[in-house]
Amino acid sequence: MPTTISKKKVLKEWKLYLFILPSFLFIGLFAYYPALSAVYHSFFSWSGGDTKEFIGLDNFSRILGDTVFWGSFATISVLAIANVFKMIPSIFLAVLIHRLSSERWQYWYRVLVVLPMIVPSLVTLFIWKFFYDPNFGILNQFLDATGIKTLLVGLDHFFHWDIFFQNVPVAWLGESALVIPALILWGFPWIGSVSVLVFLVGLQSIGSQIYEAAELDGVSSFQKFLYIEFPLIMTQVRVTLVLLIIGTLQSYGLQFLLLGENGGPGGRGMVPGLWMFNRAFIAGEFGYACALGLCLFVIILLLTSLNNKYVRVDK
Amino acid sequence: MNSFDTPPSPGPKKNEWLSHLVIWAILAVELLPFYMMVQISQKDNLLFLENPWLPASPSSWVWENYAHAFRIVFPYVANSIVVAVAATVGCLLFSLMGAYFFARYKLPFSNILWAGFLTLMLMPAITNIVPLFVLLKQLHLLNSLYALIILGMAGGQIFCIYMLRNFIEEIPKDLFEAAEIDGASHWLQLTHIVIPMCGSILATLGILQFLSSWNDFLMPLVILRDPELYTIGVGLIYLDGEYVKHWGEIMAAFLLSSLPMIVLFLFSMKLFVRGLSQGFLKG
Amino acid sequence: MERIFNAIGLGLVALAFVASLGRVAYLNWNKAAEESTKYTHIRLAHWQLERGIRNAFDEAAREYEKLHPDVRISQIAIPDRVYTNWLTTQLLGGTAPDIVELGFGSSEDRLAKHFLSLTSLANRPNPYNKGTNLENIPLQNTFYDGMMGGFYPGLMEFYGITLTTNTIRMFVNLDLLKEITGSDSIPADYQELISVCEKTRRFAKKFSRPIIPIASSRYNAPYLMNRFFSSQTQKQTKKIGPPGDFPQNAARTVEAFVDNAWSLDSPDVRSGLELMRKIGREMQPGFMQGTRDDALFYFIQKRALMITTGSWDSSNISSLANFRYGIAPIPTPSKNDPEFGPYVLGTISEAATISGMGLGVTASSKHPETAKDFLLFLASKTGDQRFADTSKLLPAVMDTTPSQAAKPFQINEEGYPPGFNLVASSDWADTSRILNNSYFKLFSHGGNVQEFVDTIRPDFLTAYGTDLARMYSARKRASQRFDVKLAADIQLLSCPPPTNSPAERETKTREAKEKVDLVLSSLNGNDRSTYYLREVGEKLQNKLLSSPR
Repeated sequence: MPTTISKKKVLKEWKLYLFILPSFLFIGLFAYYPALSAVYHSFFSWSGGDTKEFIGLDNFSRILGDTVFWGSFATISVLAIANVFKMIPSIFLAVLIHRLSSERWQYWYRVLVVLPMIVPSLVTLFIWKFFYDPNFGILNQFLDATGIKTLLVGLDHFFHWDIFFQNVPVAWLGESALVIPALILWGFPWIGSVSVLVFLVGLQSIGSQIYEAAELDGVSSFQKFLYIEFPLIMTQVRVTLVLLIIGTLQSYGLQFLLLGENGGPGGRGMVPGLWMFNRAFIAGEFGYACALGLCLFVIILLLTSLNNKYVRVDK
Repeated sequence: MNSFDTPPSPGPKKNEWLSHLVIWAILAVELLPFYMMVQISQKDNLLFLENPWLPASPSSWVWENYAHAFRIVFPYVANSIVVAVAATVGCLLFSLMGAYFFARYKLPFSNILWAGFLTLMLMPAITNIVPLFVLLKQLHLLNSLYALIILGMAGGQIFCIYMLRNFIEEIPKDLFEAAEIDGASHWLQLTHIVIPMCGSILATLGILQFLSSWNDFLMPLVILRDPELYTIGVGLIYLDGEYVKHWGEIMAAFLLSSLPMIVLFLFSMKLFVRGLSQGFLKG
Repeated sequence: MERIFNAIGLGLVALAFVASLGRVAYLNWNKAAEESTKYTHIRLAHWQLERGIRNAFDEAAREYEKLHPDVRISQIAIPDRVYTNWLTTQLLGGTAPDIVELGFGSSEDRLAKHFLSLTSLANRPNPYNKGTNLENIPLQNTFYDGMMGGFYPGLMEFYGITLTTNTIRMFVNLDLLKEITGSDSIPADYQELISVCEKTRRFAKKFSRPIIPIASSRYNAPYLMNRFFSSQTQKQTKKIGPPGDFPQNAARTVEAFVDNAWSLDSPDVRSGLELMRKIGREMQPGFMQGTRDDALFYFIQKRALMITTGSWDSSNISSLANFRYGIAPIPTPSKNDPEFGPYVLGTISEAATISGMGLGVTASSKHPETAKDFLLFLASKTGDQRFADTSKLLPAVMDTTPSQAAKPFQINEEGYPPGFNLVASSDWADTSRILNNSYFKLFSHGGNVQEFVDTIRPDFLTAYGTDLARMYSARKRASQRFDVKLAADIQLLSCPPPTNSPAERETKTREAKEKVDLVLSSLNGNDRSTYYLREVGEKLQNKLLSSPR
């Protein structure tokens, strides 16, 4: 625990404050000042220049009627829920690796799991975009080669989607109905390098005698997962989940690069962050963008506190 | 699913092959982008169209792809290295100092400062991007690499201080006390006790910080104007916007821009894996 | 072991850092030295990533630097996909380059706020034309179109200086054509085009080769589709008549629609849509989702017999195609066409094409005079000639000769004006959206014209109304802007600024008077067109209210 230094002694130890000074300056200038400035400017009509006009709560009342903004929450909710399910492969892989008997293999699999991290995320992004290319992308080639395409066309006939046709390449990012499915499929098989490692750390705390006991009781492997392994990584899962949801709510880089500043065909890929970016750096409505950001902040804060209150899992 | 029934115990098990198979299958799909990048980078458009899936025979490799890609990507890589290294070192240094302050002593205002720092963890970075842009404009930092370095330093600060504080607090007090008796200053204690004791967490934070700097493209896109300043993030976006796509060249450029990380990874694989695993144990 | 590896890794990072830092510092130092001492640095940003055009800008820059050794000019090419965002950011951040290509992201509002008016340049002779036959002619009149591509009617000012003219042509892979039809003759009329397309499809099927007749994309298709559609509305447009000096004939089209002079069920409109469907069926499936580079890729990789695109793609195609190709005008149906002839007046003339690729000077430029001077240099007779020769584009200045490569793109002035289109320009955003969202009904395998019309019908009139209302309010705002300007100029006229020389005072007064006259006359025109927009809008509203929905 830190040693307490009283107010009297502090004059002698004033040098210690120098240690916090750089961090304090950085955070004050590049985190607190912009945040306060955002709050301040959300009451103005402002395009980033020296002139601004106080308009009271106009920006906020505009947000209430902003169908694009609220519509974008529908999109981001779907993506966030999908992201929760996308954790399953990581958990599955971690458990698989953990149950291996060979330490050597366990190590090398960890290395392989980490490998994708060293490819710049933009490169991964562009390669996936290339996978989705209607004419040259491997996704369509895969669907054609395996006959899944025929199945989709059949389903299309049955349900009248009007999306899939024989001999017509599927435009994954060009068809408004396919934008969200494409975003969900993105990054298959959704292995998060850090998550797998974190889950593995959690799993390591299981002693081998527990397994032996389970073995004697003839517990099936799924039960073993359910009653021994999953409870132990619950904390990690919860933390990852919270970070994931907050991260998803903030994210817009993928949508921006993939679908453009307007969220792609029919605006179906519009997420709150992108709408804020769009208002600021496309329309030049900085004041309104600040108000949007503030709303987003409040919503994220609300979610975090809700999570802390109700989803708490005892260690 | 037989293989699941085997508890981990020393010694080889016969029926684990299914697990291995499943793991390999998952990893294969996971690493598919990487494979595609490498094999397409060896082909020209014609070759790629004829045979999009399998690697070309080495005799038909298009080496010009790499030469061309190198010319494009090299300046971006250089800029990115400067930004990422400087931002990482700066961030680690300052947060180490900050963490030392919080972990060792309880001074007046410590609590307020700590609370102030923690609130920021809840604040989504995205709300700041607009005023941050205006601030950089007022500081005349737009269109410069300094802006990216400074933002990189400031951005990771909170998280690093938070992580490091826990680690420093767990260093045995006797070590510090002994040093103090010898008359070591705070700075000496930091460099001679804290840094050696926090090696693995520092490495982990460093790697994460480096990666986030390396991968950033939204701030560079907004900040940088001149082509000679582009970091990998912006450079690749502009490369992707070309009207005539030479997929081989593009993939070669992608490969080259991953190369620094690959080399770094090869040499510090163990640290990478162990650091990432352990770093979160205490966090 | 691990320690050693870590050390090597760390060492490599340090080494790479030092090397990179050295490089960056050196570049920075060089740049700083250049900027602080001898050079005036001018930056030019555009989205013309085509190699020929980049080279042309480079060449012009080097030539200009030879004339003015104290100036350095560099270009920044930004992909069109991020151009709007990029330009907005730079303008708001005050870091915008000195010269910027106008188009994406430069709305009238932004032009007025962040760009310098070039009207006075346009009204004066170009000094770089000295010694040529254009020596004493005001800049705008040295352009064959009066430099209308750089003129913004809503602001009544010139903000851009244009360099080229673009036309749409059909590129044909002659090697493939010979293989398919046995001859090199490019289809000259619509019937031939359709028959070649049919032959291509049969050929592709027979030899199971993946060849499509026409490569297209959501970027390329509208140009072609508009051309074909407007061939069918020629006669009707002649009847409606262009409304005098009004710049946007589109409003007249809307008025005619409101007056029931034409409708979505008129035989000519139906015929135009039928024609669009026929052409669309010859393009690769799903072309409306493809991007510009997709279409180009098909053609370059010999997977398409033809591509229809603008002259801007010419340098790309010439540098990449490893086959013989021909360039020909787009063969719209002739008067004698058995199927689509009845509504055709004749060949469509391109006389109304205006010059493009306008370059503007930003208000934040540190050296606006140098930037303007460079633009004048580019827009001079020799400058534009050189630019056109290298970029293989058509020049925009009078008395220049197009390069051999640009000959096929020369404006075809003969013929008759084109008819109206359902959407005239990008100003008609809502109408465009309605159409774009429904095009798949028109072009897809299972769709047809009737289905397309039925889909757009419910919202069509409303969309016209929304667009009209938006244009009307923009015009009104522009009028109000004029009031302020007018007041300022009159002020200047009544009390000229104090100067020492009477000659200077006289020029100032004369200039102010000219400006007032110009503003008054344009205001007059603007008011008339604004009034007309309102008239049409009111009619439309009445119709909307009376029609049962």
